[in-house]
Amino acid sequence: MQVKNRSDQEILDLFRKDSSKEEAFKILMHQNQEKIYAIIRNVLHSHFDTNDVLQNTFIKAYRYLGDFKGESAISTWLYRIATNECYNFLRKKNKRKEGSLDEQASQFGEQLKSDPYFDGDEWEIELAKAVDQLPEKQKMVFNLRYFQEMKYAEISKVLDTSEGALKASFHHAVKKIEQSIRQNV
Amino acid sequence: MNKAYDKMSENNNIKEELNALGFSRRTSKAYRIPEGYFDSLHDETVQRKNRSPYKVPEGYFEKLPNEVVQKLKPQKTTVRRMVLPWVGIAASLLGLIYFFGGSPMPDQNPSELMSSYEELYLEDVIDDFSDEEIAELDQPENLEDWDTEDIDDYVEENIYELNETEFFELIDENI
Repeated sequence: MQVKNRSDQEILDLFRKDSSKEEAFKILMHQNQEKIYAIIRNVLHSHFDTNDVLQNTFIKAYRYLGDFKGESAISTWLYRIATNECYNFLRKKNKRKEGSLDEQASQFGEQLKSDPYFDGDEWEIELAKAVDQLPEKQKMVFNLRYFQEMKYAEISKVLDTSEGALKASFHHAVKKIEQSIRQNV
Repeated sequence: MNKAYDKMSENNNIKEELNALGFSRRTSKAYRIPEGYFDSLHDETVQRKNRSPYKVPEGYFEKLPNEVVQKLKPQKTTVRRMVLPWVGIAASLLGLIYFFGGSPMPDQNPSELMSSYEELYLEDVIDDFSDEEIAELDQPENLEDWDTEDIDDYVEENIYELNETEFFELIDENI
């Protein structure tokens, strides 16, 4: 489906009219879904988990878009909802994790290898495993900076964290990942 | 900030930043290199960086907006659909009271609390239902099997998102 790109203001104007609310929301989804999918997928890895969290993200966006104050771009606001949804998902998932960190990493690697929607090589599997072992915040910072190539100023708005703290997080994440890959590849 | 962070703040380019952090792949002179390898290395590296190992089912993004919009539309309300969420929420609230002190019924475990509340609640609302609607009612199949994690998850998903006014409205209306 070909959808004409619209500015944030055009989307908001359409969304606030009952007659064009649904159309506005579909445009919003078309313009943002792939980027948000990528943000979530690089953290959760499974397409099916990503699909759940992505849909929840847009359902929340629909509920609150009418109150959106325009203090940031809609996309930044959506990234923020998506990262919060990721955190919620990870917290629930982590409660159910069992075994040592090494066992979890090994199990995670096997899951990736057997995932029909993943075709990474050994280096990409090790990278995913190393990212998965990071604390939540570092994981998200690494994802937004490394995979999405976002500027620190935007990550700062998405994660509500100072640029200095983000740089420190990214630095620690890169060092941990480098060490993990060196050990395993 | 230390020197590493200073270098990071000097540029906004991720590749330069990773280089400044010393995050690069190793090369070794012990291995021979195919002719012309370095001529195409940059392009291949960029391609690899841009290539994602994560695949998406065909047509996924085309179908997604309609799928989400369908979920947002009001569903046909059945008696079962109307009653069960409130039973669940009420059970969660009782579970909360039970776990965080002030338990009104300390001898009962969470599933007993849920079952007893479920009965009370159904008795209270059943007068409003027609015979046909009553016939539709049956016991929730999974509620009795909920453990504390299920209750936590339910509360996290359903209660924590309410603001204070919505929370007290919910209690007034349903308990």
